[in-house]
Amino acid sequence: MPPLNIGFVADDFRVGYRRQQTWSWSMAAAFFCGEVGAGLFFVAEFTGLRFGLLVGLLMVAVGKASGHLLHLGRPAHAWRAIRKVRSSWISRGLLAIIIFTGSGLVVVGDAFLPGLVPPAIPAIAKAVAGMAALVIMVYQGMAMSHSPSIAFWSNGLMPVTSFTYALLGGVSLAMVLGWDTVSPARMEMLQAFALGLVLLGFVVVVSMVHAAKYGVHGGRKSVERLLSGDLRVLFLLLVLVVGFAMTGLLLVFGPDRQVFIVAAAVTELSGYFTFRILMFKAGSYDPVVGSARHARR
Amino acid sequence: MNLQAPVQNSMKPGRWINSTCKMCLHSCNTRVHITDDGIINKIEGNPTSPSNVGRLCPKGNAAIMRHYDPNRFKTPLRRTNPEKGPGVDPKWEPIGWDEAFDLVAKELKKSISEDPRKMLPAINDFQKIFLWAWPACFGNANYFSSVGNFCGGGYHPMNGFVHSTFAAANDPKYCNFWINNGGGDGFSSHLHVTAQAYAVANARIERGMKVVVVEPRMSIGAAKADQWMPIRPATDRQFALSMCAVLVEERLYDVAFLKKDTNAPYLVGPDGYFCRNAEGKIWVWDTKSNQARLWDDPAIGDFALEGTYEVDGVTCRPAFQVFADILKDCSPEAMEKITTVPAANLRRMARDFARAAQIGSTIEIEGRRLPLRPAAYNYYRGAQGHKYSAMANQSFKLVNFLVGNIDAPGGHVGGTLDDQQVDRGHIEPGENGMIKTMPHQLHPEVPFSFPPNETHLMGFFPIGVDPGHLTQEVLGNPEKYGLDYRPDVMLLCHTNPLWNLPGDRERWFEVMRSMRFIVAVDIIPNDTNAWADVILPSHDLLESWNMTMIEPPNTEGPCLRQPATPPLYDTRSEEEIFYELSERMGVLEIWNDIQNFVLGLTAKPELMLERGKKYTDREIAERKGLLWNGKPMDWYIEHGHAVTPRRPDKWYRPWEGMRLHFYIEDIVRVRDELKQKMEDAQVPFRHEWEWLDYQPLPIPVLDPVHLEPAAFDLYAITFKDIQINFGESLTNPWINDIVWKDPVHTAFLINAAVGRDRGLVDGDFVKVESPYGSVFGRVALSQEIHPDTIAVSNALTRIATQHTGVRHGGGNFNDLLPANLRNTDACSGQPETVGRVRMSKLDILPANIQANPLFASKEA
Amino acid sequence: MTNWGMVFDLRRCIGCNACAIACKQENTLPSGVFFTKTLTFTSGEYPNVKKLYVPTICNHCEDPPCERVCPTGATYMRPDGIVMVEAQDCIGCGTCIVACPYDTRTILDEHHLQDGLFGQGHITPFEMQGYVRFTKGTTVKCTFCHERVDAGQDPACVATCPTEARIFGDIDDPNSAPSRLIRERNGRQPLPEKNTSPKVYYVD
Repeated sequence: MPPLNIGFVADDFRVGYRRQQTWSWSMAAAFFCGEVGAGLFFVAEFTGLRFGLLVGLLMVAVGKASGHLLHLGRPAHAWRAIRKVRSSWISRGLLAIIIFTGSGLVVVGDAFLPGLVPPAIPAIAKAVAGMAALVIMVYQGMAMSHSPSIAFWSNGLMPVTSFTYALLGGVSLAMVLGWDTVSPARMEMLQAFALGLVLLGFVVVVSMVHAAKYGVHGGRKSVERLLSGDLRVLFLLLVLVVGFAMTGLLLVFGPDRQVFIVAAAVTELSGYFTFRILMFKAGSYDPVVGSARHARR
Repeated sequence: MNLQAPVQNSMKPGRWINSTCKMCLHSCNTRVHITDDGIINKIEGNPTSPSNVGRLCPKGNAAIMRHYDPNRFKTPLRRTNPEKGPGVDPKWEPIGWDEAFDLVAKELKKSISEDPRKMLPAINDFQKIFLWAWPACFGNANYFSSVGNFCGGGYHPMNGFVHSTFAAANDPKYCNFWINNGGGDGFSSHLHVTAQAYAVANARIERGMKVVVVEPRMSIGAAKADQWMPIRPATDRQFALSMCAVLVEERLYDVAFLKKDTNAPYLVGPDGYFCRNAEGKIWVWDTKSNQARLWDDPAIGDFALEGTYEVDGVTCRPAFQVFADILKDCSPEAMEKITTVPAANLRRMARDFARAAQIGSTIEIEGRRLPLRPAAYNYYRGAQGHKYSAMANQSFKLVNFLVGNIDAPGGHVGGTLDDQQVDRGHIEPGENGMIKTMPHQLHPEVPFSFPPNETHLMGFFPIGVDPGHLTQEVLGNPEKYGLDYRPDVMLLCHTNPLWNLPGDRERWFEVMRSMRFIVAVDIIPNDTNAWADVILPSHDLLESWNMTMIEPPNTEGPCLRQPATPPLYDTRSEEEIFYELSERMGVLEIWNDIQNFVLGLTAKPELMLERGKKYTDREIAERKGLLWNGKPMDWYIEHGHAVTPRRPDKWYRPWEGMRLHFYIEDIVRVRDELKQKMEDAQVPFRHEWEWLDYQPLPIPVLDPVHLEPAAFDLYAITFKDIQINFGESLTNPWINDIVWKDPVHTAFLINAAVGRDRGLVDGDFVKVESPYGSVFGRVALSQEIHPDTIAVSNALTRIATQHTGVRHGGGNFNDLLPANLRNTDACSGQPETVGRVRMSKLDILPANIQANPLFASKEA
Repeated sequence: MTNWGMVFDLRRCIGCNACAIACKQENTLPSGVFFTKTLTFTSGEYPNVKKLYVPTICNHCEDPPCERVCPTGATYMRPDGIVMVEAQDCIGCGTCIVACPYDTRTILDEHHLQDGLFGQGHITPFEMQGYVRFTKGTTVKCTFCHERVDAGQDPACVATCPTEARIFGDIDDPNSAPSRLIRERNGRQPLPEKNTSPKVYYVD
């Protein structure tokens, strides 16, 4: 394993840790929209929240897709990304997005214009869209943890963070969108659920960082940056304090006030978006030749 | 598999031609691929070459980018902006060739007809070295460029003294212990770097050759070495002398070699001359009969190397004893105070070296029984580029002398510049059984004159190379030096003196401003030709003919350059340019006479250039090929070169039966003759001439750089690496893509501990100041450098803005160096190449820095 | 079937990067784009310092994560083990770059192909004849000089290396030069813990 005392390098010809730079803002926006959108849709299906279905669908079909297209070198050929479902999580995700968009359209159509199609179809579509939404909620985390190059990402908890954040984002938005329409009993349940997810999310994120801190070197370098390096303020303040602590407090102390619920959604989603960006930024590659230090001269 | 057209350049439809690289001054054999559309798209090493064996260094790989450089001069150009200065746009205007030739000939002739000395030439193309002689048509021996500051002022004359050659190198074929001192042979620079790097890598890996590198900065060689011995700059001579001291003290020297093959037993009198009888024959001491005998007396029982004797009432010592007496002051313990090299390490290394030399062992090569001495001490610019350069060079040679490895298999072997003919030897017998010393390898001796004919005082350097930097001193103080004319025209040809000359740039700019007319023959814009009034653009290396052999270390034979494409632009060959000028200036006849002499064509009268006739580059190249082996151009076009491994009879001990100059009496003689001439001419500066510099054997006196005021507490050195070996580098986008990503080339390197003590961190901005000038830039704290040293890559020493690819550094390193007599070796002309400096942190960047400087932060 | 691989001899390499430029020549690479490059690695404290030159290149892994994650199949492996990118299929998603532990892939942006090696948009005839192979917005990487190799030659970086620090050949053939070196001098793969099974080895 490469020694830890080597620094980061950019494009200079030195052996060193390198920062992940290929995935950045547009991919973070896509990940964010995809996970929150799918999460919202998923929650909306259970709470019968029509606007939640619509917004969730739009976030995935428009928001996520735009983020990805912006990122691509050849966006006009994006459709080709579906070819490798066999091994690529990107292909699997795209397939899920297509299925989700198709079935989601049916579900949303039925929600706003009921009776347009025989009831069996929306029922099936609802099941399919729900499954697809679940895939979208986790596949990005799978894609990140799937490749061995970035130690910080190759972590079993990465898809769990995706799923937790997706669901939490979905619940938070559902509470905001459904403030007037969802029954008090449902709302109370959602709030409890959200609080649980905040706790779970906090534990998962901290566990993931903790695991990396005592893991292999590339991961330790990432954690260094998050806890004591250039990303420290963003991570500790926005992700942990604002994203989890403040959201949790708002949920605990203001469950019956709309402004608190909206504020909780804002803090939660801010923390989450910061998390998405920081996961990309903190990703570091090990020095290409870890065994170099053993070499004789 | 796809059946499309090939995408890799060498696989595309086209043809290969054989040629020769010119990205440095040496001559690796190449093959050039030209597509069916006439585009050069790949250059590789020629696998048939025993020199570079199909391989090329990074620069050789980048030659295409010289060819297609859009900054190239495309037609003859005339300046329309009368204002001249660094960074001033000349506002070039294209003109026709006839007009350009007429204009240049008229302007040069105007000055030359008033006084032929009024031209300052700087002709620097090593592969067409015969062009250097063109000013001789007018009896002009001025030289406006540096040799010593970028190669070896003392190096070449010393090789001429010892080996009768231009260069020298360790023999990688048999060497098992290779010392590199301040040079990159075998790793990163100097003689045919690709060939030598290959040979040395094979020796290291296949034979386990041990490498020790002595230098202040860890270069490539030191990185690959078994041992890096960091040393304080400008103390290499003291290091070598301390090594000699160990070898002599512990009697680890080759007695048989010294007695039989050198003048070490010759008796030296108190005046520094050998003791001679009335007929001029030199005495030695016979220890068997305990009496003085003449050196060639067959009755000599054994030569004395040591002792003090009386011959004809004169007290004398064998030359070896003279050296041994000097070495009493050179113990490793004493020298450690100067070099900082721990005495114990030095002693251990010296013993290992002597053991590896296998003194007494022999080897049979092609029927000759030769001493095998597989240990050798190599050195170059960094070690010898100091005030007492002749002494420094000799001290390194003497390490080799002591173990008897001079020109021995595995040892330190002389390399000729150009043999011209395959059977031409380079050794001539001298007096008293010794070889004839040939310190003048580049041109014949320039006669002494006062008032001086040359602005760089060449006539005062009867055994040195051109001290071009002294032009600043002389033109700055013409009365003091008695200069009775002022040069007012300048001829530049493939040269960049404003980059390479040591001394204050502003004073050089004054010299440039004092020129009435400047013409430059060149390919791309640079610091100096930006001052020209007329540019005469020449073909590049892929458009022209040439035949060259340039100091190959392990091989010999001429290498053909041939055009791969027709000229891209309206350019001409240098041969044609100088012929046209010669014709217009009325020296066509003498120019051919001179070329016949310089090219060696006088040896085969049928090849001689006819008077009054003009020849093309191809015709001259063909003659050089014919002169070598009688093969016509077609043969060379087919083969690309006539390179063979170095013939052992020329390589190993070509002086067999003669004696080498362990003690260089010629230096003493030259000193006294010069003294007399200066006395006779009542030269006003004769008393401040540095007479101490002429020593027949080196002494450990400190170079003046160590005596600068103590406030200048660091030594500044500059370095290149294999990517920027020699010149023609950073204008090339491929070279600059790899160089400015290498951390040693992007900041001043200082020792990490020293930097920390001074409160510096990586990226801090500093000013580095010597008593003579200053540079600024960012620092990098490094473990790879001696604590007394600050190292400035040559890649940072760029002030040119003429070429869009070159990024601006924080001034020219050479500004830190003194271009004065005090710091010039009077014996060899070598200027000091180390600067004594102090470093101060700057909080803000100077206001007047150029756009896109190297030290700007990445974000800027 | 042959299985192409390469060995880097760290004792031979002098860090000159002739390899990098030979590759640029052979493959017409734009400024800042490298298919192979040699890095430096310094360790220890003055005066006990070690400095290594470490060549890097696409490892043409037996189990290439770039190929696995590629959503279009643009990245594929030839039967002789060379990992290739089919530009027509590549959509420039960069997932392969993220997935590769070895920093050997680049997405060609517009500026790469339009700035020119000399900058300011000047495109030399050399670039014109070479850039036609590239598709803007796609990933490029070392191909082990597949066309040269198909013609029985060494890759350009191997052919030019001044110190013969790069040894290329069939690593499934126990008698090939790289196989012998790997065996005799204990060849090691880069970052073996990434489980990519590189076909590039280092000997020291």
